[in-house]
Amino acid sequence: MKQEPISIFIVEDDAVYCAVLGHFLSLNPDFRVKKFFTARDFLNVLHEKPDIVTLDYSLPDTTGDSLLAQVKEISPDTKVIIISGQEDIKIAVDLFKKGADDYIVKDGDTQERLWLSIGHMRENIALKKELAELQLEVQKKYTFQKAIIGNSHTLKQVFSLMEKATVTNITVSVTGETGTGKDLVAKSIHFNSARKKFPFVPVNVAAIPRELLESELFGHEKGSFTGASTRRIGKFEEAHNGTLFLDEIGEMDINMQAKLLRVLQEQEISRVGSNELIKINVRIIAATHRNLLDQVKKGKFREDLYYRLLGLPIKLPPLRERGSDIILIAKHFTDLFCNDNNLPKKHFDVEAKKKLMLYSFPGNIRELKSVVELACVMSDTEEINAEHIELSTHSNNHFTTGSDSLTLKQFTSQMIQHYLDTNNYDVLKVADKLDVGKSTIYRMVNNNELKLQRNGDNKFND
Amino acid sequence: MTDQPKLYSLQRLLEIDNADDGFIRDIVSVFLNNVPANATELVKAGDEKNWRSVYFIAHKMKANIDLLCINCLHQEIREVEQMAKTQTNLHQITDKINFIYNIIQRTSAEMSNDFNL
Repeated sequence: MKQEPISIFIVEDDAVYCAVLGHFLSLNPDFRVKKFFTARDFLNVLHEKPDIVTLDYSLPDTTGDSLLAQVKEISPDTKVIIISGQEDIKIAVDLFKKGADDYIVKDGDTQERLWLSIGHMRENIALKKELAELQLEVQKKYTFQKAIIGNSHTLKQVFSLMEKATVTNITVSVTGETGTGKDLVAKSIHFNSARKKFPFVPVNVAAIPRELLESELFGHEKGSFTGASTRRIGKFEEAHNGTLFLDEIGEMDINMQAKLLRVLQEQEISRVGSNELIKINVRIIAATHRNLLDQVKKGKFREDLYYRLLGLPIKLPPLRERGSDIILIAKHFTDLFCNDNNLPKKHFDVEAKKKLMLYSFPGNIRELKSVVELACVMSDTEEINAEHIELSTHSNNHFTTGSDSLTLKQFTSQMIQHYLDTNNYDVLKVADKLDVGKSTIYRMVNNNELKLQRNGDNKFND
Repeated sequence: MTDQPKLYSLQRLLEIDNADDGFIRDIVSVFLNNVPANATELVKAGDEKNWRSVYFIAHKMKANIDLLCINCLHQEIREVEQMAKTQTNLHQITDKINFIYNIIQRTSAEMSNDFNL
């Protein structure tokens, strides 16, 4: 573990003892030591929030209790070691209850015990700092715009809903095809919400055998069923004060749905094999690739649970509806892959970009990632060409130009026409998806380079 | 003529890591600047029967007396601290305070002489 310098304030009215402690603690070059003879002088600089304070219990201008309370109020993370001439267990216990981190009696072993105590605290401080840095890093990582790549209008709408989700505790339901990034949305909401310091606990409902799901979610007592050799807390308890992400909620067994509904209504759980009710405070984010309302109509999903979970619905668009986001995401994955594998930075040539843009990506972002990574491996230079891009032959849902010898203008027309054909000739939508101006499309329509109706004349005229 | 045994000892200070001559001299100097004055305050508080002050001063001096190993005061300073705190056996306290004062004065003189301070 990295040992960083720590600041130690000595508050001691006894000049001799203060000099001894100051000398002793200054032996470690990583300890930044300051000495104070009165509580007043010390309180004047407490805003510097030292890592550790050694506090003489008997000061001329205040009591140890009172000063301890002020330290804990102004600088709650500061560790306080009380150094006292009184070997009084009651005082020590009382000070511990009030937040003191250690109590050392002034005697022949004071310095040694102080050294040990500060050593332990230093490890603890380093761990806390490391944790805070990690939390910050995680938060940065899940900043919406960094975690979810794209500029399309549909994605901006998703960001706007996510913003609303972060400032409230509302239940969120995320829907979208497989591979659209539902888990990333859930994590980003959690790590940008007030619950970010508490756990984010994901549960993939589809991956847990039906008979084990109850114990997985609510925990179990020792001996409650065969194999329950110890008590185990469930995901709800684990996520207390944080977020529980129920992925693939549409796969949940109907009986289990009733139990989940009761928990969500009552905000309390009982472990399997126990009657004890445990209060929980958990934010739920549920996700599914299914249309839950259809499932309700088919009797496979409880209607009451559906409405309980619906909360703020966020629908993630499939990649094929995100237009030029495909290229941005492909570039992001290329950079990541090259960086992780010590490869030089690679870029896509025009043909490769065309090929990516014209494919429907039924596996969405997950499929794009694997296509891009393979392309990085197949390409021996810094350029990725169309031949490096291997697309699934199972999907026939991709646009083909029919000819390799088109001009760029002809290719552009065909591609925009393809998007118009597959988007009900909605010019605004297509312009947004392809990141081109709507006036460009209208101009091409007027020039008879595009049609606004299938096999028909253009209705639009300036 | 035989040398009188010293009233103080540097043993505990020397046990502290890196306790070189400079450090010892600094501590002795701080002791001389503070503890005799504490002893004078102790006498004054005793004369005024201000037992709360007597307790606090004795409590503070106790750590210094232990640190400089002034062993003949080890028990006396604790008794004064306790008497003042509980306000018991106060008829003995003045003699004990005077004894402490005298020993501190003699110890200070010894230290001043030993360290040319």
